[in-house]
Amino acid sequence: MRYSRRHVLRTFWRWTLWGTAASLFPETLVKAAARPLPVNPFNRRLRLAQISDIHLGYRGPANRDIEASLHAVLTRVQGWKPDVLLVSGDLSQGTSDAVVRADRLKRALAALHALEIPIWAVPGEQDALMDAGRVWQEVVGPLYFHRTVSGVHVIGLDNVSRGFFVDAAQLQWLEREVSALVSETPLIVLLHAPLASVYPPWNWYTYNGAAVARLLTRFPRRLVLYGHIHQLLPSSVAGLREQSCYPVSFVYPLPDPSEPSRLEPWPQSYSHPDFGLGCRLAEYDGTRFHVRDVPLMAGTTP
Amino acid sequence: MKRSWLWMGAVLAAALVAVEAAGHRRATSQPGAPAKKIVMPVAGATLYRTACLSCHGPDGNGRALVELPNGALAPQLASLSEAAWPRERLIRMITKGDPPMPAWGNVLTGGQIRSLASYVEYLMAQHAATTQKTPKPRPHL
Repeated sequence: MRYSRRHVLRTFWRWTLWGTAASLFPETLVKAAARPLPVNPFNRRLRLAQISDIHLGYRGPANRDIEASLHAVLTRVQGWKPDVLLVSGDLSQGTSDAVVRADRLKRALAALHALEIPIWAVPGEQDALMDAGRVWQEVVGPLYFHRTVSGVHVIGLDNVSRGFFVDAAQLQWLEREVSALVSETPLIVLLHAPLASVYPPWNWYTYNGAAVARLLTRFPRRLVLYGHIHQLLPSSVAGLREQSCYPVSFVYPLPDPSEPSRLEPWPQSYSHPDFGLGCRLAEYDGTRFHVRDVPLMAGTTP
Repeated sequence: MKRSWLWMGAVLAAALVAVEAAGHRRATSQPGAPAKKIVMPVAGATLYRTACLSCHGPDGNGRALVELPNGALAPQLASLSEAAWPRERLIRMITKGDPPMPAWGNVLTGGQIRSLASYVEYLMAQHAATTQKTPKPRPHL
């Protein structure tokens, strides 16, 4: 092995400096060596995927094959190997028949569980408004929840099962849950409808969204994720920014406030059947969230 | 001469007022019932636009902008009958709900709910007045 002149000089000076420091401050150096390295619980980035508005059971021109769209989205999600899948409501297409509703929810869950990761879902109005969430609780679980994964807190809220609001009992529960958290807590809030009044004539709002937002603004490291409006449309309320998600099923148009019209989904394109559909990847690196919205159709990144 | 003109003017004005009052009474009340003045409750109307319009349509006309989850349309509020829907029943329905009708008592105050009920009553009265005014189509001979 041959050493260059530069290498010999660098080694000499390094040892000289360490030797001098050890003789001058022996205790300090011993303490520094004994101190454990700071533990970073996010050595690997925490990955969460979000999908929304599956509408399993829908039959119509807005999507001629919901199951195929769901399969395409789940294939994309599987490639990311996420730790948790978040679902922001409307797993099923609405129906008056409780048995059919239960069956649709079970089929949607079965498809999602094929990913073999935890599925954390909040109800959409299609899943829960017809019976105030009775079947949802039997088949899926609680209407709202607070869970953690690798230090990240995920709060799922129900702002649809009794109407487009967060009811008083749930608001009190939320207040209790967040009051126990320090402001530095990384927090994800998952809902179906936006907290902001994006467009109330189409039920794109939460009546008391501002009251919910005020409980969440003290968390600088937060994500507020929703679905319902079937398109990407950032909105904010009381200083709280929130992000909608691509739908799995079909696309809604942008509202025209100057001329209120009936909400109708776009007919599915024959040439580009995946247009407007997609999913989301959210990663937490220990300091901040990174969000990527991923359309199914190539070349349509937002 | 001047005095007779004044008398004629006064009689004409009185006749006009009488005709207008009779028309208003016909438009707003059931036969035999006392005349009722229709005044739009502004607070209720504002609240209606946020909370109810999407499903019950503008002016409670049933032309919903959003379908219910089962694909049906919410009831046309304006055509509800006063006899079947007295004020207490309206308030109870708005407060407690009946899925998919939301239970607004969860987030609205008693005053807000009463103002919404007043607006629904106003829509019902308006509708009743309009349908009574509209002449029935004559049978085609």
